[in-house]
Amino acid sequence: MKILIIEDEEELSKSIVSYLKAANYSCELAGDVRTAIDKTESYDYDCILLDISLPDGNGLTVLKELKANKKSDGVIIISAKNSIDDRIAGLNLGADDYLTKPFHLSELSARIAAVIRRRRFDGNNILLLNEIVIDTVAKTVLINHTPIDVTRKEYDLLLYLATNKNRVISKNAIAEHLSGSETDAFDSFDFIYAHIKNLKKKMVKEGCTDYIKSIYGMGYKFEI
Amino acid sequence: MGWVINLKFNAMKLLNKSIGLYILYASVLLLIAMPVLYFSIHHRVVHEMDESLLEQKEKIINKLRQTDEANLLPWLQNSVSDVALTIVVNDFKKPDHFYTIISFDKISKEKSPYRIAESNIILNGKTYLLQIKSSMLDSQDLIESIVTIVIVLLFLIIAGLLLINQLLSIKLWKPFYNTIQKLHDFKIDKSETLHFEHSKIKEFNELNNAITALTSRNLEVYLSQKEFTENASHEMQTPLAVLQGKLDLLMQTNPLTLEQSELISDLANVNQRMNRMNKTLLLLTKIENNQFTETENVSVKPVLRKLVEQYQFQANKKNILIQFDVTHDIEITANKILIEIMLGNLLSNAIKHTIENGHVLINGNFNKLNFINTANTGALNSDKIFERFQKQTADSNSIGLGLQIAKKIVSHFHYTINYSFQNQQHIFSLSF
Repeated sequence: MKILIIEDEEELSKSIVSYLKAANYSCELAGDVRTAIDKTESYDYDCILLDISLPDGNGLTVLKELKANKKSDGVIIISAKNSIDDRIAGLNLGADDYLTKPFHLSELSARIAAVIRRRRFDGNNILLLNEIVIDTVAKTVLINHTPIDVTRKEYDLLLYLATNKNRVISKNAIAEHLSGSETDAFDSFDFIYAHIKNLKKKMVKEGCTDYIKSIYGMGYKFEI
Repeated sequence: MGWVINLKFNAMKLLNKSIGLYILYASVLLLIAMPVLYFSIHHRVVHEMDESLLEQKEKIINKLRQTDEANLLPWLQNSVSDVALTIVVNDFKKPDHFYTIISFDKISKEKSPYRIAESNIILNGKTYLLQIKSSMLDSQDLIESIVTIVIVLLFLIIAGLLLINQLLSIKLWKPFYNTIQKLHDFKIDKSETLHFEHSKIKEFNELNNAITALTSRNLEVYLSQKEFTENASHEMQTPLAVLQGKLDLLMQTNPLTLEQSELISDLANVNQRMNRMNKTLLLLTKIENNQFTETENVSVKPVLRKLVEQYQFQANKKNILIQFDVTHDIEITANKILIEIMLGNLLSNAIKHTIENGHVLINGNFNKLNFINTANTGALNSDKIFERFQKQTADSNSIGLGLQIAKKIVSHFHYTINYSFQNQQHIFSLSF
């Protein structure tokens, strides 16, 4: 999976690369609009991460260029601006998602996975993790071919953990993912603890290995 | 509007105050003028009369010298009625002197004053006392006419002053009232400078210029401050994102001891708070900048129902019963995102500040909505509660911006919100 990261803040792109590489993505970097357009013209990417404010112009020009060249790369805008206008402009220009800085790397990774999944032409929207099958279209979970009854939150939680498998996901990242960043999610650690407990119970009951591990109270990890 | 009328009323009082002083001054002056006028006119009249009496005396003496004694008395009686000539025994020559008597006037049948001139004259070796009497202007009449004139004058002065005052307040002070109205309507967050019409009065122009300068200076300061908040929050996003990323990566390092994990956790939590604070500040700035222009019809009831569901976990944890008693839906035209944020803040606030096993009651209808909860503290300071960073608890989860956001959104759509404390309950009342 090839990812192009168009971001002028070097420290941030370094972190992104480091996180995504561990998930077997191959990453390329572009620090300005010109380099970005050069790269997108020469190669196809599974997903492009696009910052809007770049030193030599607006990141949206890259998006316009992609559209003009009839490219179908998935694009996630990562911007410091959370303005609705920008969001709408970006999505109208064909971006698949919009993520406001600062974000958790686990969240970014999950969004990339979702974009790539959606863009797959073979209709393969199934996530296979040993005995677990997650159908991202039907939003169902099967364990050893038996569907388990999970709530919407539990499904979101499992998918989030699974797309970030073998990584520690902080409690804050999970809380934000489950309740959205706009809400004032107080007592959120208890909230996710309750959901994880329920999810684990339902999975183990169907004979699933207990993959979800708590890491020193720092976060959770789907270990497989 | 009531305030404006009140203000105008007070301003009228200012004009009335000066006119009151004018009237007082005029009255005192005229009161003093009355005796002064009386005495000076009286003195003048007496003096004139004395002079005319003297003149008459000379005429009589001349006549007397030409007439002999026998014809004298009949002449006197025939010619001037108010002249009396009596023989005095002593030949002591007295100088002329004048005095006033009050005697009964047979014609007008009332007492009236007379001026009398007395002088001794010697005719044919005999000394006579010549008395010339002349009716004088009645001093009571004089006083009466003076008082009448003064009262009429006073009345004219007062009426004139009031009329001028009225005209002044309407015409002359009009630019002043315009200025006050404009100042009253001035809102710094509307980013409009004040413009005044040119007045013919120098002072008003100076006032208007001073106000224009003051407001535009304030506006500049306000804008630069706002811009600073905006820029600071924006610029902060990138380093916060870097920090967030590095923390996420740090968590993946292996091996990791318990001690390190705890440190990372603490850092992550602090970073999270910083993120939230920054996002909230940006949201505030955006509301202030009117960046939420899109409005739609929002039904408050379903929004609230969803929020109650969302916060059910937190409520259950403290065994709080949320009662939802909105009888009629509240239909408003507003930005849905903002309304959700506002209601969410009020609800999460209510749950946060409820005692364990307490209750949260949401009731209302049509255009009223109340959030009532059993308080875990005493009454909050209602003056400061909606201000920025006015945390009234030591809860580290709270960043002290929730109510300010709610208030900002409420005033953005011209609704009102009030806080009260009754029966150990916090009550936030919204009217749409």
